[in-house]
Amino acid sequence: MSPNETKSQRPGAIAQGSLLTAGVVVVLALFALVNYLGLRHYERFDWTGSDIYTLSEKSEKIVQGLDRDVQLIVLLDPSAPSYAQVDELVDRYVAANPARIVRRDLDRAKSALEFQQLVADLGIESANTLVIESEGDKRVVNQYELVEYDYSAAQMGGSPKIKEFKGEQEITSAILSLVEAEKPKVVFTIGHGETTLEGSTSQRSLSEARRLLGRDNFEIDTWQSLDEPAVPEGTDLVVISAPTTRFTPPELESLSRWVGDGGRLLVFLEPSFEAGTTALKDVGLSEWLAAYGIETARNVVIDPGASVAFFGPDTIYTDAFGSHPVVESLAQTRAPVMLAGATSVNAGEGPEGAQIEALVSTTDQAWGETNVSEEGVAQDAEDLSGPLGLAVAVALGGNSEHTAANSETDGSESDESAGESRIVVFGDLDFATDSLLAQGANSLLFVNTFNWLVEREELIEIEGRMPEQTQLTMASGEIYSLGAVVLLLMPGSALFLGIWIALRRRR
Amino acid sequence: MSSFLALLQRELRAYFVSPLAWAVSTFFLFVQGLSFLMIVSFLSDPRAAGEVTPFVILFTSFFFWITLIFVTPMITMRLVSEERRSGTLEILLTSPLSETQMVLAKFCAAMIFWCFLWLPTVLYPLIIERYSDVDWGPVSSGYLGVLGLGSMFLAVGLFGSSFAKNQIVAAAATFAMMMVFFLVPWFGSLATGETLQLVFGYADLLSHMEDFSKGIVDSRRLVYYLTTTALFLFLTVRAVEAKKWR
Repeated sequence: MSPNETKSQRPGAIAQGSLLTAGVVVVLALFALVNYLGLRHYERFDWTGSDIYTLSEKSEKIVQGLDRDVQLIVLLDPSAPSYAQVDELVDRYVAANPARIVRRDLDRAKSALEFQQLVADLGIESANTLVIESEGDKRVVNQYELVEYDYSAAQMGGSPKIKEFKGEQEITSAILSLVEAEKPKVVFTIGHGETTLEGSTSQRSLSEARRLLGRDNFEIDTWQSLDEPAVPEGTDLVVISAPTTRFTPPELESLSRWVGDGGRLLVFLEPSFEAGTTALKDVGLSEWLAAYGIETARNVVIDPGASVAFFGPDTIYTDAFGSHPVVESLAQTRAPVMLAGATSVNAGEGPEGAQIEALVSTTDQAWGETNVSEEGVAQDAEDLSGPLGLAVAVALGGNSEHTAANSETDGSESDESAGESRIVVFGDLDFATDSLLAQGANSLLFVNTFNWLVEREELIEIEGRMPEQTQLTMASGEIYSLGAVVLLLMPGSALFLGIWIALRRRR
Repeated sequence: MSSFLALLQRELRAYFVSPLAWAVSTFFLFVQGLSFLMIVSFLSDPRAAGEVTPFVILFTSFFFWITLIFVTPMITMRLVSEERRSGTLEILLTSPLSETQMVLAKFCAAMIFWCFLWLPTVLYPLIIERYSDVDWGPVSSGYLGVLGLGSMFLAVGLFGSSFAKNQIVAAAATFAMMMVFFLVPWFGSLATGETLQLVFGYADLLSHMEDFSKGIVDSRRLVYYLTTTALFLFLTVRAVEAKKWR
């Protein structure tokens, strides 16, 4: 190369180099821009057969309808057993509405001061929590509320397995409670020996039921119906839980007015006995409920076709559900509910326009035992034969004939613009007590009922998810054979081909 | 197009008649087989928690990453550097084939070999299916992740090979560049700013594969793999072009 050529080529090389640099810079900028846009606008797809990583339609609806920002603050330690599930679930919520939901991971080591301050502000005992925050309001979900474990394998020295992941229920409920303008108010009647959420009797404790209602943002109060003739103002739902003494006619009139004006009522009946006898008591609600098409009886349901081993004959399980919204998801999954000492509640003839549906029933082997004695149980001629209803839901259109009839008899004026009245009657309360609420789908039935009654259908059907699990049953001989295939045969074939090719090439 | 296909064919032949490629296959299948056997033994233990599916472990285990780190540089190390060492690069550059076509042909050949390596592992879910239900969705998304990661690292490897004359240097350069990608979660753990955490989280390959193996396909991961592949292929083309005017 002559010195002249070098001189003439140098400007060309510089120009090429500059062009190359400029091209690289432009492409890098393009790379950053595309990734930035990809980060801002993205889609997540769930390829699992059971859509296990997809938010339920209900959660999706609530999240996409948010009109304010929500922050999901993850305080869980990455070593926490439920961390992987929570981590993925939080991402799912953010992906459902990236404009409104922001994820924040607060590391206790890196942001120690902020972490400690938040823990102190929230007054939480365990720092392993998920905090849902919106406009200064906060809800805390503890890691133990997110996962239900099955400890049965622990007896064999195994580790506990995740039975159910309830993260979606907890987070959606927390979000709803933050963004809901008003909390639905539930009043429990008192003064008739009812079991209330406030205290527990020696037989029944409803503390877990209270927690579930609190989680779903229900405000709970009581109503002394003997003292106050009208249902307290602002009430959304009246609950009568297992009364043991009679309701007076003025109290029943108050309830009629309430229902007639589009009120909502939930009744839990329990068979109770006359003092010192085995005769079943009448609490004075049968006739009143019959007017709405709900037939109750003084009996104890016995179902040999659905009895539970090691329990008394009156403890039964059932997966016979109707098609009502309260039990629709339970019917689809055939998740059974467990009841104890229930009384029968059947759908009867109601006022015109009333939609009366059985929610839960027994098998056809059941009967309603009316002669409860220590000698045992046996079906008699006077006992109702199965299948028997165990819960009934009634929906009455606004200003129905029944409403008008009640207004005429008690001289009250019904609200002309009253909406749909809703009543649900259960023949059992024990299914919602602490000892049975965790069994089967009891908690789902309990919460679904409350949510349907206050027209929060969006919260019905959010079920806990079962994590994907695989358990293989391979004998050690089969594992050895498998080892021979995957460790010897497959790599060996590649090795053999390699040697064969090398030898051929050498020739 | 015919020149492109001719080069692709030549590259593929070079792979399949090379004893090194079969040695790589042997190593790959042995490590994957060992990983699979350990998973099967674990899941056959009645005391096992069984909270995961075998493919979540297969696509996220130490063995998976080890094979990825060592196998991809071995696949790509000779692609350009060997041409450079043997002097055939100049012949290629003066052929009717453009630099882009040349780089794409070499990349496609590497991708085909990558798929060939993974193909026998489809036998694993088929074996599992004999003993348990297999959800083919997460299996497919796991393989999609393998394709995405593979394309990204093969592009990185091709770039590494484009500026080294020696294959070992090319493999070492690729390995070093790949380590930067793997150190992203560590950088993320050091970062305090939310934006930095978001950026490092976006590029965290370990969490990407966790999602893919579970059956979650996130468009952000695909955009990241595709753009990174395109970026490194572009850089490779430029590196080869630079050879022309230097």
